[in-house]
Amino acid sequence: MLNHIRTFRSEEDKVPSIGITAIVPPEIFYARGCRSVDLNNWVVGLEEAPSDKLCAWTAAWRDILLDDPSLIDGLVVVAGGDCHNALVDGQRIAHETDIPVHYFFYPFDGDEGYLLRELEGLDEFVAEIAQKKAARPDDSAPNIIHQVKLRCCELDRLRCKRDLDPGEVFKLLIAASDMMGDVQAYSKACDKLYQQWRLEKHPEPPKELKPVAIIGVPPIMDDFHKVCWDVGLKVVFDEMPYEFVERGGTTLEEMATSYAKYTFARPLEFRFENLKEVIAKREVAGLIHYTQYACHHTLEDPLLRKEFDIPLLTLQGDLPRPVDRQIRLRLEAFYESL
Amino acid sequence: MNHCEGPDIGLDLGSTAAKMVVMDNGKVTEKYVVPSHKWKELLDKIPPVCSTYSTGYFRSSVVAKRSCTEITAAMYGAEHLLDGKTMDVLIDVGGQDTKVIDNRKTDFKLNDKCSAGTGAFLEFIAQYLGVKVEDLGTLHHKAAGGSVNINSTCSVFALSEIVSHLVEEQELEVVIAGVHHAFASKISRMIPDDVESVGLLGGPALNSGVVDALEQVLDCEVAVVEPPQFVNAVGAVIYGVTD
Repeated sequence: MLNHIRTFRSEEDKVPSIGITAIVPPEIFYARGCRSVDLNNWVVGLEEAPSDKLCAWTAAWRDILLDDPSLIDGLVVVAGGDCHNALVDGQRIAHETDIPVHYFFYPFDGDEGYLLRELEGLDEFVAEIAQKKAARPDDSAPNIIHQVKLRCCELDRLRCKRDLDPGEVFKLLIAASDMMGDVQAYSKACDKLYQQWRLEKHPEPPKELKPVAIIGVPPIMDDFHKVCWDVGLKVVFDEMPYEFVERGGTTLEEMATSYAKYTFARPLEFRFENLKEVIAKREVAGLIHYTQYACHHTLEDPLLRKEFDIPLLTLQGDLPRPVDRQIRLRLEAFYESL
Repeated sequence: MNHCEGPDIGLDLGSTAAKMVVMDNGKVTEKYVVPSHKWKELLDKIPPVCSTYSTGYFRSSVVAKRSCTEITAAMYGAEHLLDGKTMDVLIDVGGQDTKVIDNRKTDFKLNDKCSAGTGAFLEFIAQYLGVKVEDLGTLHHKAAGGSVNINSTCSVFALSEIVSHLVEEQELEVVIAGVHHAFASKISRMIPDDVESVGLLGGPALNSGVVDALEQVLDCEVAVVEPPQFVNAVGAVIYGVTD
Protein backbone atom coordinates (compact mmCIF):
# COMPACT_ATOMS: atom_id res chain seq x y z
CA MET A 1 0.00 0.00 0.00
CA LEU A 2 2.90 2.35 0.67
CA ASN A 3 4.55 2.69 -2.69
CA HIS A 4 4.08 6.47 -2.53
CA ILE A 5 6.30 7.18 0.51
CA ARG A 6 9.61 6.29 2.08
CA THR A 7 9.13 3.67 4.81
CA PHE A 8 12.74 3.03 5.93
CA ARG A 9 12.25 -0.74 5.77
CA SER A 10 15.60 -1.95 4.55
CA GLU A 11 18.28 -4.27 5.84
CA GLU A 12 20.74 -1.39 6.08
CA ASP A 13 18.45 0.79 8.15
CA LYS A 14 18.86 -0.08 11.82
CA VAL A 15 17.13 2.97 13.29
CA PRO A 16 13.93 1.91 15.09
CA SER A 17 10.77 3.55 13.71
CA ILE A 18 8.10 4.59 16.18
CA GLY A 19 4.74 5.69 14.82
CA ILE A 20 2.94 8.72 16.22
CA THR A 21 -0.75 9.51 15.69
CA ALA A 22 -0.35 13.26 16.35
CA ILE A 23 2.44 15.63 17.31
CA VAL A 24 4.71 14.61 20.18
CA PRO A 25 8.25 16.01 20.44
CA PRO A 26 10.44 14.43 17.71
CA GLU A 27 13.41 15.60 19.80
CA ILE A 28 12.82 12.73 22.26
CA PHE A 29 12.87 10.04 19.57
CA TYR A 30 15.97 11.20 17.75
CA ALA A 31 17.89 11.74 21.01
CA ARG A 32 17.30 8.07 21.80
CA GLY A 33 18.51 7.00 18.39
CA CYS A 34 15.02 6.28 17.06
CA ARG A 35 12.90 8.09 14.49
CA SER A 36 9.32 9.24 14.88
CA VAL A 37 7.03 8.40 12.00
CA ASP A 38 3.93 10.57 11.74
CA LEU A 39 1.41 8.03 10.47
CA ASN A 40 -0.66 10.81 8.90
CA ASN A 41 2.13 11.42 6.43
CA TRP A 42 1.37 8.01 4.95
CA VAL A 43 -2.15 9.01 4.04
CA VAL A 44 -1.78 11.75 1.39
CA GLY A 45 -1.35 10.12 -2.01
CA LEU A 46 -2.72 6.76 -0.87
CA GLU A 47 -4.83 5.15 -3.57
CA GLU A 48 -6.72 2.54 -1.54
CA ALA A 49 -9.86 3.70 0.27
CA PRO A 50 -9.85 2.64 3.93
CA SER A 51 -12.47 0.32 5.35
CA ASP A 52 -14.68 1.01 8.44
CA LYS A 53 -13.95 4.66 8.33
CA LEU A 54 -15.17 7.87 9.84
CA CYS A 55 -12.21 10.21 9.23
CA ALA A 56 -9.96 8.92 6.45
CA TRP A 57 -6.84 10.33 8.14
CA THR A 58 -6.94 7.79 10.97
CA ALA A 59 -8.68 4.92 9.17
CA ALA A 60 -6.03 4.92 6.44
CA TRP A 61 -3.01 4.50 8.72
CA ARG A 62 -4.92 1.97 10.81
CA ASP A 63 -5.53 -0.18 7.70
CA ILE A 64 -1.90 0.17 6.63
CA LEU A 65 -0.64 -1.01 10.02
CA LEU A 66 -3.13 -3.87 10.25
CA ASP A 67 -1.95 -4.93 6.80
CA ASP A 68 1.75 -4.74 7.71
CA PRO A 69 2.59 -4.24 11.42
CA SER A 70 6.30 -4.63 10.65
CA LEU A 71 6.36 -1.05 9.33
CA ILE A 72 6.96 0.31 12.83
CA ASP A 73 8.61 -0.92 16.03
CA GLY A 74 6.31 0.92 18.41
CA LEU A 75 3.33 3.26 18.40
CA VAL A 76 2.58 6.41 20.40
CA VAL A 77 -1.13 7.18 20.45
CA VAL A 78 -2.01 10.72 21.47
CA ALA A 79 -4.97 9.82 23.68
CA GLY A 80 -5.54 13.22 25.24
CA GLY A 81 -5.45 16.35 23.09
CA ASP A 82 -6.23 14.71 19.76
CA CYS A 83 -9.36 13.15 18.25
CA HIS A 84 -11.14 10.06 19.54
CA ASN A 85 -11.17 8.46 16.11
CA ALA A 86 -7.38 8.23 16.38
CA LEU A 87 -7.64 6.90 19.92
CA VAL A 88 -10.01 4.09 18.92
CA ASP A 89 -7.98 3.19 15.84
CA GLY A 90 -4.81 3.24 17.95
CA GLN A 91 -6.41 0.86 20.43
CA ARG A 92 -7.39 -1.41 17.57
CA ILE A 93 -3.73 -1.59 16.58
CA ALA A 94 -2.90 -2.48 20.20
CA HIS A 95 -5.53 -5.24 20.19
CA GLU A 96 -4.85 -6.77 16.81
CA THR A 97 -1.07 -6.54 16.42
CA ASP A 98 2.04 -7.11 18.54
CA ILE A 99 3.17 -3.50 18.14
CA PRO A 100 4.03 -2.01 21.57
CA VAL A 101 1.67 0.93 22.16
CA HIS A 102 2.07 3.90 24.48
CA TYR A 103 -0.75 6.37 25.24
CA PHE A 104 0.22 10.01 25.61
CA PHE A 105 -1.96 12.69 27.20
CA TYR A 106 -1.66 16.45 26.74
CA PRO A 107 -3.07 18.47 29.64
CA PHE A 108 -6.23 20.41 28.75
CA ASP A 109 -5.29 23.12 31.27
CA GLY A 110 -1.67 23.46 30.11
CA ASP A 111 -0.20 22.13 33.37
CA GLU A 112 3.54 21.99 32.65
CA GLY A 113 4.29 19.67 35.60
CA TYR A 114 1.76 17.16 34.33
CA LEU A 115 3.13 17.41 30.80
CA LEU A 116 6.69 16.91 32.07
CA ARG A 117 5.65 13.61 33.66
CA GLU A 118 3.94 12.60 30.41
CA LEU A 119 7.11 13.44 28.46
CA GLU A 120 9.20 11.40 30.93
CA GLY A 121 6.83 8.46 30.37
CA LEU A 122 7.15 8.89 26.62
CA ASP A 123 10.93 9.04 26.92
CA GLU A 124 10.96 5.76 28.89
CA PHE A 125 8.83 4.05 26.25
CA VAL A 126 11.10 5.24 23.45
CA ALA A 127 14.21 4.27 25.46
CA GLU A 128 12.90 0.72 25.92
CA ILE A 129 12.43 0.28 22.19
CA ALA A 130 15.80 1.87 21.51
CA GLN A 131 17.47 -0.53 23.93
CA LYS A 132 15.69 -3.55 22.48
CA LYS A 133 16.84 -2.58 18.99
CA ALA A 134 20.35 -1.56 20.12
CA ALA A 135 19.88 1.96 18.75
CA ARG A 136 22.69 4.51 19.14
CA PRO A 137 21.63 7.57 21.15
CA ASP A 138 22.35 10.96 19.67
CA ASP A 139 22.55 13.68 22.31
CA SER A 140 23.05 16.35 19.68
CA ALA A 141 19.69 15.66 18.01
CA PRO A 142 17.55 18.09 20.11
CA ASN A 143 19.94 20.95 19.35
CA ILE A 144 20.00 20.17 15.64
CA ILE A 145 16.19 19.94 15.57
CA HIS A 146 16.01 23.25 17.42
CA GLN A 147 18.07 24.91 14.68
CA VAL A 148 16.01 23.30 11.93
CA LYS A 149 12.78 24.47 13.52
CA LEU A 150 14.13 28.01 13.77
CA ARG A 151 14.75 27.92 10.03
CA CYS A 152 11.23 26.55 9.47
CA CYS A 153 9.72 29.34 11.59
CA GLU A 154 11.59 31.88 9.50
CA LEU A 155 10.31 30.34 6.27
CA ASP A 156 6.80 30.30 7.70
CA ARG A 157 6.92 33.97 8.66
CA LEU A 158 8.50 35.09 5.39
CA ARG A 159 5.99 33.33 3.17
CA CYS A 160 3.43 36.08 3.76
CA LYS A 161 5.80 38.68 2.39
CA ARG A 162 7.18 36.87 -0.64
CA ASP A 163 5.82 34.71 -3.39
CA LEU A 164 7.22 31.30 -2.51
CA ASP A 165 4.88 28.47 -3.47
CA PRO A 166 2.67 28.00 -0.38
CA GLY A 167 2.27 24.30 -1.27
CA GLU A 168 6.02 23.75 -0.98
CA VAL A 169 6.15 25.55 2.37
CA PHE A 170 3.18 23.55 3.62
CA LYS A 171 4.76 20.23 2.65
CA LEU A 172 7.95 21.17 4.45
CA LEU A 173 6.26 22.42 7.61
CA ILE A 174 3.84 19.50 7.88
CA ALA A 175 6.83 17.15 7.70
CA ALA A 176 8.29 18.79 10.83
CA SER A 177 6.13 16.52 13.00
CA ASP A 178 8.57 13.67 12.37
CA MET A 179 11.44 15.38 10.54
CA MET A 180 10.66 13.16 7.53
CA GLY A 181 12.18 10.28 9.51
CA ASP A 182 15.64 11.68 8.90
CA VAL A 183 16.77 14.91 10.56
CA GLN A 184 19.70 15.44 8.19
CA ALA A 185 17.55 14.99 5.10
CA TYR A 186 14.89 17.27 6.52
CA SER A 187 17.43 19.92 7.40
CA LYS A 188 18.78 19.82 3.84
CA ALA A 189 15.26 20.13 2.42
CA CYS A 190 14.71 23.26 4.56
CA ASP A 191 17.98 24.80 3.43
CA LYS A 192 17.21 23.98 -0.19
CA LEU A 193 13.85 25.68 -0.07
CA TYR A 194 15.34 28.67 1.72
CA GLN A 195 18.11 29.07 -0.85
CA GLN A 196 15.73 28.56 -3.73
CA TRP A 197 13.56 31.27 -2.31
CA ARG A 198 16.43 33.70 -2.06
CA LEU A 199 17.92 33.00 -5.46
CA GLU A 200 15.12 32.14 -7.86
CA LYS A 201 12.90 34.56 -9.63
CA HIS A 202 9.35 33.44 -9.20
CA PRO A 203 6.59 33.64 -11.81
CA GLU A 204 3.96 36.32 -11.53
CA PRO A 205 0.85 35.19 -9.68
CA PRO A 206 -2.16 34.55 -12.01
CA LYS A 207 -4.18 37.44 -10.58
CA GLU A 208 -4.42 39.56 -7.51
CA LEU A 209 -3.88 37.10 -4.69
CA LYS A 210 -5.88 37.26 -1.47
CA PRO A 211 -4.01 36.12 1.65
CA VAL A 212 -5.88 33.37 3.50
CA ALA A 213 -5.24 31.10 6.48
CA ILE A 214 -6.09 27.42 6.72
CA ILE A 215 -7.28 26.47 10.18
CA GLY A 216 -8.46 23.12 11.51
CA VAL A 217 -6.93 19.90 10.27
CA PRO A 218 -4.52 19.90 7.32
CA PRO A 219 -6.18 19.27 3.93
CA ILE A 220 -6.01 15.64 2.86
CA MET A 221 -5.69 16.61 -0.84
CA ASP A 222 -2.09 17.12 -1.84
CA ASP A 223 -2.93 19.73 -4.50
CA PHE A 224 -5.01 21.88 -2.15
CA HIS A 225 -2.56 24.79 -1.83
CA LYS A 226 -1.93 24.80 -5.57
CA VAL A 227 -5.64 24.96 -6.35
CA CYS A 228 -5.98 27.80 -3.85
CA TRP A 229 -3.18 29.64 -5.66
CA ASP A 230 -4.76 28.96 -9.05
CA VAL A 231 -8.07 30.51 -8.01
CA GLY A 232 -6.33 33.52 -6.44
CA LEU A 233 -5.99 32.52 -2.78
CA LYS A 234 -2.52 32.62 -1.30
CA VAL A 235 -2.22 30.52 1.85
CA VAL A 236 -0.07 32.47 4.29
CA PHE A 237 -0.79 30.41 7.39
CA ASP A 238 -1.43 26.72 8.07
CA GLU A 239 -2.53 26.27 11.65
CA MET A 240 -1.38 22.76 12.44
CA PRO A 241 2.03 22.86 10.71
CA TYR A 242 2.61 26.18 12.48
CA GLU A 243 2.24 24.32 15.77
CA PHE A 244 4.70 21.66 14.61
CA VAL A 245 7.51 24.17 14.10
CA GLU A 246 6.68 26.60 16.92
CA ARG A 247 6.87 23.94 19.66
CA GLY A 248 10.22 22.49 20.69
CA GLY A 249 12.99 22.41 23.30
CA THR A 250 16.37 20.84 24.00
CA THR A 251 15.47 19.38 27.43
CA LEU A 252 12.31 17.69 28.69
CA GLU A 253 11.64 20.75 30.88
CA GLU A 254 11.87 23.13 27.93
CA MET A 255 9.64 20.84 25.89
CA ALA A 256 7.06 20.74 28.69
CA THR A 257 6.94 24.53 28.75
CA SER A 258 6.64 24.79 24.98
CA TYR A 259 4.29 21.88 24.20
CA ALA A 260 1.96 22.91 27.05
CA LYS A 261 0.96 25.68 24.65
CA TYR A 262 0.06 23.23 21.86
CA THR A 263 -3.22 24.91 21.01
CA PHE A 264 -5.13 21.92 19.61
CA ALA A 265 -4.96 20.25 23.03
CA ARG A 266 -6.13 23.34 24.92
CA PRO A 267 -9.57 24.96 25.41
CA LEU A 268 -10.99 26.64 22.32
CA GLU A 269 -10.63 30.14 23.82
CA PHE A 270 -6.88 29.57 24.20
CA ARG A 271 -6.60 28.37 20.61
CA PHE A 272 -8.73 31.21 19.25
CA GLU A 273 -6.69 33.87 21.06
CA ASN A 274 -3.49 32.48 19.57
CA LEU A 275 -5.08 32.35 16.14
CA LYS A 276 -6.28 35.93 16.34
CA GLU A 277 -2.77 37.12 17.09
CA VAL A 278 -1.17 35.31 14.14
CA ILE A 279 -3.97 36.18 11.72
CA ALA A 280 -3.67 39.87 12.56
CA LYS A 281 0.10 39.82 12.07
CA ARG A 282 -0.20 38.12 8.69
CA GLU A 283 -2.99 40.43 7.49
CA VAL A 284 -5.21 37.53 6.50
CA ALA A 285 -8.26 38.45 4.39
CA GLY A 286 -10.20 35.22 4.91
CA LEU A 287 -10.16 31.95 6.84
CA ILE A 288 -10.55 28.50 5.35
CA HIS A 289 -11.78 26.15 8.05
CA TYR A 290 -10.81 22.75 6.72
CA THR A 291 -12.37 19.72 8.38
CA GLN A 292 -12.83 16.09 7.51
CA TYR A 293 -15.97 14.03 7.13
CA ALA A 294 -17.07 12.98 10.66
CA CYS A 295 -14.52 15.34 12.21
CA HIS A 296 -15.21 17.01 15.57
CA HIS A 297 -13.61 20.21 14.29
CA THR A 298 -16.74 20.74 12.14
CA LEU A 299 -18.63 21.46 15.37
CA GLU A 300 -16.35 24.45 16.00
CA ASP A 301 -17.75 26.23 13.00
CA PRO A 302 -20.48 28.33 14.68
CA LEU A 303 -17.98 29.45 17.35
CA LEU A 304 -15.41 30.43 14.76
CA ARG A 305 -18.00 32.48 12.88
CA LYS A 306 -18.82 34.37 16.07
CA GLU A 307 -15.21 34.83 17.18
CA PHE A 308 -13.60 35.91 13.92
CA ASP A 309 -14.72 39.01 12.16
CA ILE A 310 -13.40 38.08 8.74
CA PRO A 311 -14.96 35.92 6.00
CA LEU A 312 -14.79 32.21 6.73
CA LEU A 313 -15.20 29.30 4.35
CA THR A 314 -15.81 25.84 5.77
CA LEU A 315 -14.73 22.88 3.70
CA GLN A 316 -15.12 19.21 4.40
CA GLY A 317 -12.83 16.69 2.79
CA ASP A 318 -12.95 12.94 2.85
CA LEU A 319 -10.59 10.65 0.94
CA PRO A 320 -7.00 11.50 -0.09
CA ARG A 321 -7.83 12.47 -3.67
CA PRO A 322 -7.14 15.57 -5.77
CA VAL A 323 -9.36 18.59 -5.11
CA ASP A 324 -12.76 17.92 -6.71
CA ARG A 325 -15.03 20.32 -8.60
CA GLN A 326 -17.26 20.99 -5.61
CA ILE A 327 -14.37 22.07 -3.39
CA ARG A 328 -12.91 24.13 -6.23
CA LEU A 329 -16.25 25.88 -6.76
CA ARG A 330 -16.33 26.84 -3.08
CA LEU A 331 -12.79 28.20 -3.27
CA GLU A 332 -13.60 30.20 -6.41
CA ALA A 333 -16.74 31.65 -4.86
CA PHE A 334 -14.80 32.48 -1.69
CA TYR A 335 -12.22 34.34 -3.74
CA GLU A 336 -14.99 36.31 -5.46
CA SER A 337 -16.60 37.12 -2.12
CA LEU A 338 -13.29 38.48 -0.81
CA MET B 1 -26.07 49.04 -19.30
CA ASN B 2 -24.88 48.30 -22.82
CA HIS B 3 -21.42 49.55 -23.54
CA CYS B 4 -21.42 48.61 -27.23
CA GLU B 5 -23.93 48.08 -29.96
CA GLY B 6 -25.26 44.54 -29.61
CA PRO B 7 -27.12 42.97 -26.74
CA ASP B 8 -25.32 41.00 -24.00
CA ILE B 9 -25.47 37.25 -23.67
CA GLY B 10 -25.53 35.45 -20.32
CA LEU B 11 -24.77 31.73 -20.34
CA ASP B 12 -25.34 29.56 -17.28
CA LEU B 13 -23.84 26.17 -18.04
CA GLY B 14 -25.15 24.19 -15.07
CA SER B 15 -24.67 20.57 -14.09
CA THR B 16 -27.97 19.42 -15.65
CA ALA B 17 -29.31 22.32 -17.73
CA ALA B 18 -27.71 25.05 -19.80
CA LYS B 19 -29.51 28.39 -19.79
CA MET B 20 -29.02 31.43 -21.96
CA VAL B 21 -30.45 34.94 -21.81
CA VAL B 22 -30.20 37.75 -24.29
CA MET B 23 -30.27 41.09 -22.49
CA ASP B 24 -30.86 44.52 -23.89
CA ASN B 25 -30.76 47.61 -21.69
CA GLY B 26 -30.98 45.47 -18.58
CA LYS B 27 -34.05 43.59 -19.78
CA VAL B 28 -34.23 39.93 -20.70
CA THR B 29 -35.44 39.83 -24.29
CA GLU B 30 -34.91 36.15 -25.05
CA LYS B 31 -34.24 33.07 -22.97
CA TYR B 32 -33.46 29.45 -23.76
CA VAL B 33 -32.82 26.25 -21.84
CA VAL B 34 -31.41 22.92 -23.06
CA PRO B 35 -29.91 19.86 -21.30
CA SER B 36 -26.30 20.59 -20.35
CA HIS B 37 -24.77 18.13 -22.79
CA LYS B 38 -26.51 19.98 -25.66
CA TRP B 39 -25.25 23.39 -24.59
CA LYS B 40 -23.63 24.06 -27.96
CA GLU B 41 -27.12 24.27 -29.48
CA LEU B 42 -27.41 27.56 -27.62
CA LEU B 43 -24.57 29.02 -29.65
CA ASP B 44 -26.73 28.85 -32.79
CA LYS B 45 -29.22 31.18 -31.13
CA ILE B 46 -26.70 33.84 -30.27
CA PRO B 47 -27.33 37.03 -32.28
CA PRO B 48 -24.44 39.25 -33.35
CA VAL B 49 -23.32 40.52 -29.98
CA CYS B 50 -20.57 42.44 -28.36
CA SER B 51 -20.12 40.36 -25.24
CA THR B 52 -20.84 36.96 -23.75
CA TYR B 53 -20.66 36.32 -20.02
CA SER B 54 -20.70 32.88 -18.42
CA THR B 55 -21.33 31.15 -15.14
CA GLY B 56 -22.17 27.65 -13.92
CA TYR B 57 -20.43 24.34 -13.47
CA PHE B 58 -19.12 24.22 -17.05
CA ARG B 59 -18.58 27.96 -17.47
CA SER B 60 -15.00 27.53 -18.60
CA SER B 61 -16.21 25.52 -21.63
CA VAL B 62 -17.20 28.72 -23.39
CA VAL B 63 -15.03 31.65 -24.36
CA ALA B 64 -16.53 34.53 -22.41
CA LYS B 65 -15.53 38.10 -21.84
CA ARG B 66 -15.89 37.52 -18.13
CA SER B 67 -17.13 34.68 -15.99
CA CYS B 68 -17.97 34.08 -12.35
CA THR B 69 -19.19 31.31 -10.10
CA GLU B 70 -22.91 30.66 -9.85
CA ILE B 71 -22.83 31.96 -6.27
CA THR B 72 -21.69 35.41 -7.33
CA ALA B 73 -24.01 35.28 -10.36
CA ALA B 74 -26.98 34.48 -8.14
CA MET B 75 -26.30 37.50 -5.91
CA TYR B 76 -25.99 39.91 -8.84
CA GLY B 77 -28.86 38.35 -10.81
CA ALA B 78 -31.35 38.29 -7.94
CA GLU B 79 -30.68 41.88 -6.93
CA HIS B 80 -31.11 43.04 -10.54
CA LEU B 81 -34.31 41.09 -11.12
CA LEU B 82 -35.76 42.24 -7.81
CA ASP B 83 -35.15 45.86 -8.83
CA GLY B 84 -32.39 46.43 -6.32
CA LYS B 85 -34.08 44.73 -3.38
CA THR B 86 -31.66 42.55 -1.42
CA MET B 87 -33.11 39.47 0.27
CA ASP B 88 -31.50 38.27 3.52
CA VAL B 89 -30.90 34.87 2.01
CA LEU B 90 -30.98 33.36 -1.46
CA ILE B 91 -31.63 29.68 -2.02
CA ASP B 92 -30.40 28.48 -5.39
CA VAL B 93 -31.60 24.92 -5.97
CA GLY B 94 -29.53 23.45 -8.74
CA GLY B 95 -29.57 20.12 -10.51
CA GLN B 96 -26.87 18.59 -8.36
CA ASP B 97 -26.26 21.09 -5.63
CA THR B 98 -28.08 23.62 -3.55
CA LYS B 99 -26.54 26.88 -2.45
CA VAL B 100 -27.66 29.04 0.40
CA ILE B 101 -26.25 32.55 0.15
CA ASP B 102 -26.38 34.90 3.12
CA ASN B 103 -26.46 38.35 1.53
CA ARG B 104 -26.04 40.03 4.90
CA LYS B 105 -22.58 38.55 5.43
CA THR B 106 -21.57 37.63 1.88
CA ASP B 107 -21.40 34.07 3.14
CA PHE B 108 -22.58 30.87 1.49
CA LYS B 109 -23.13 27.17 2.09
CA LEU B 110 -23.40 24.30 -0.36
CA ASN B 111 -24.88 20.89 0.26
CA ASP B 112 -22.19 18.31 0.90
CA LYS B 113 -21.97 14.76 -0.40
CA CYS B 114 -25.74 14.34 -0.62
CA SER B 115 -28.34 15.07 -3.29
CA ALA B 116 -31.41 15.00 -1.02
CA GLY B 117 -31.98 18.77 -1.19
CA THR B 118 -31.30 19.22 -4.89
CA GLY B 119 -33.23 19.11 -8.16
CA ALA B 120 -31.82 15.62 -8.80
CA PHE B 121 -33.77 14.33 -5.78
CA LEU B 122 -37.11 15.58 -7.14
CA GLU B 123 -36.36 14.20 -10.61
CA PHE B 124 -35.43 10.84 -9.11
CA ILE B 125 -38.65 10.62 -7.10
CA ALA B 126 -40.86 11.87 -9.95
CA GLN B 127 -39.38 9.32 -12.30
CA TYR B 128 -40.05 6.49 -9.85
CA LEU B 129 -43.63 7.66 -9.26
CA GLY B 130 -44.22 7.94 -13.01
CA VAL B 131 -45.19 11.62 -12.90
CA LYS B 132 -43.71 14.59 -14.71
CA VAL B 133 -41.50 16.73 -12.51
CA GLU B 134 -43.42 19.82 -13.66
CA ASP B 135 -46.67 18.28 -12.32
CA LEU B 136 -45.33 17.84 -8.78
CA GLY B 137 -46.58 21.28 -7.66
CA THR B 138 -50.15 20.67 -8.85
CA LEU B 139 -50.22 17.26 -7.15
CA HIS B 140 -48.83 18.81 -3.94
CA HIS B 141 -51.72 21.27 -3.70
CA LYS B 142 -54.29 18.51 -4.29
CA ALA B 143 -53.17 17.02 -0.98
CA ALA B 144 -54.99 19.97 0.65
CA GLY B 145 -52.52 20.23 3.53
CA GLY B 146 -52.14 16.50 4.04
CA SER B 147 -48.61 15.13 4.22
CA VAL B 148 -46.55 12.16 5.38
CA ASN B 149 -43.28 12.08 7.28
CA ILE B 150 -40.20 11.14 5.31
CA ASN B 151 -37.36 11.04 7.79
CA SER B 152 -34.45 9.74 5.79
CA THR B 153 -31.85 12.26 4.69
CA CYS B 154 -30.71 9.96 1.87
CA SER B 155 -32.50 10.00 -1.50
CA VAL B 156 -32.38 6.23 -1.91
CA PHE B 157 -33.62 5.51 1.61
CA ALA B 158 -36.26 8.22 1.23
CA LEU B 159 -37.56 6.30 -1.77
CA SER B 160 -37.96 3.21 0.44
CA GLU B 161 -40.07 5.28 2.83
CA ILE B 162 -42.13 6.61 -0.06
CA VAL B 163 -42.80 3.09 -1.28
CA SER B 164 -43.86 2.08 2.25
CA HIS B 165 -46.38 4.93 2.38
CA LEU B 166 -47.81 3.97 -1.00
CA VAL B 167 -48.04 0.30 -0.02
CA GLU B 168 -49.98 1.47 3.05
CA GLU B 169 -52.38 3.09 0.55
CA GLN B 170 -51.54 6.71 1.25
CA GLU B 171 -52.70 8.94 -1.59
CA LEU B 172 -50.04 9.86 -4.13
CA GLU B 173 -50.68 13.60 -3.62
CA VAL B 174 -50.16 13.32 0.14
CA VAL B 175 -46.91 11.41 -0.39
CA ILE B 176 -45.68 14.04 -2.83
CA ALA B 177 -46.43 16.77 -0.26
CA GLY B 178 -44.32 14.73 2.17
CA VAL B 179 -41.51 14.61 -0.37
CA HIS B 180 -41.58 18.40 -0.67
CA HIS B 181 -41.50 18.81 3.12
CA ALA B 182 -38.52 16.46 3.40
CA PHE B 183 -36.85 18.45 0.63
CA ALA B 184 -37.53 21.75 2.38
CA SER B 185 -36.36 20.38 5.75
CA LYS B 186 -33.08 19.30 4.24
CA ILE B 187 -32.50 22.79 2.81
CA SER B 188 -33.60 24.51 6.02
CA ARG B 189 -30.61 23.04 7.88
CA MET B 190 -28.39 25.24 5.75
CA ILE B 191 -30.35 28.44 6.49
CA PRO B 192 -28.79 30.84 9.03
CA ASP B 193 -30.71 32.16 12.05
CA ASP B 194 -32.95 35.23 12.08
CA VAL B 195 -33.82 35.27 8.41
CA GLU B 196 -36.69 37.51 7.44
CA SER B 197 -36.65 37.41 3.65
CA VAL B 198 -35.79 34.54 1.34
CA GLY B 199 -35.39 34.57 -2.42
CA LEU B 200 -35.69 31.26 -4.27
CA LEU B 201 -34.14 30.53 -7.65
CA GLY B 202 -33.19 27.60 -9.84
CA GLY B 203 -35.43 25.22 -11.81
CA PRO B 204 -37.16 23.64 -8.77
CA ALA B 205 -38.45 27.13 -7.82
CA LEU B 206 -40.99 26.58 -10.65
CA ASN B 207 -42.50 23.87 -8.44
CA SER B 208 -45.08 25.61 -6.24
CA GLY B 209 -45.05 22.60 -3.90
CA VAL B 210 -41.41 23.36 -3.05
CA VAL B 211 -42.24 27.02 -2.40
CA ASP B 212 -45.20 26.07 -0.17
CA ALA B 213 -43.12 23.54 1.82
CA LEU B 214 -40.23 25.98 2.26
CA GLU B 215 -42.56 28.70 3.54
CA GLN B 216 -44.00 26.29 6.09
CA VAL B 217 -40.64 24.95 7.24
CA LEU B 218 -38.91 28.36 7.36
CA ASP B 219 -41.99 30.16 8.68
CA CYS B 220 -41.45 33.14 6.40
CA GLU B 221 -42.41 34.31 2.95
CA VAL B 222 -40.36 32.83 0.15
CA ALA B 223 -40.19 35.03 -2.96
CA VAL B 224 -39.45 33.30 -6.25
CA VAL B 225 -37.00 35.41 -8.24
CA GLU B 226 -38.46 35.48 -11.75
CA PRO B 227 -37.54 33.88 -14.06
CA PRO B 228 -35.95 31.46 -11.54
CA GLN B 229 -34.07 29.27 -14.00
CA PHE B 230 -32.36 32.26 -15.59
CA VAL B 231 -31.29 34.30 -12.57
CA ASN B 232 -27.67 33.15 -12.77
CA ALA B 233 -27.45 33.78 -16.51
CA VAL B 234 -28.71 37.32 -15.86
CA GLY B 235 -26.28 37.63 -12.94
CA ALA B 236 -23.37 36.63 -15.16
CA VAL B 237 -24.13 39.60 -17.41
CA ILE B 238 -24.68 42.05 -14.57
CA TYR B 239 -21.47 40.95 -12.84
CA GLY B 240 -19.64 41.05 -16.16
CA VAL B 241 -20.55 44.62 -16.99
CA THR B 242 -20.09 45.93 -13.44
CA ASP B 243 -16.74 47.59 -12.72
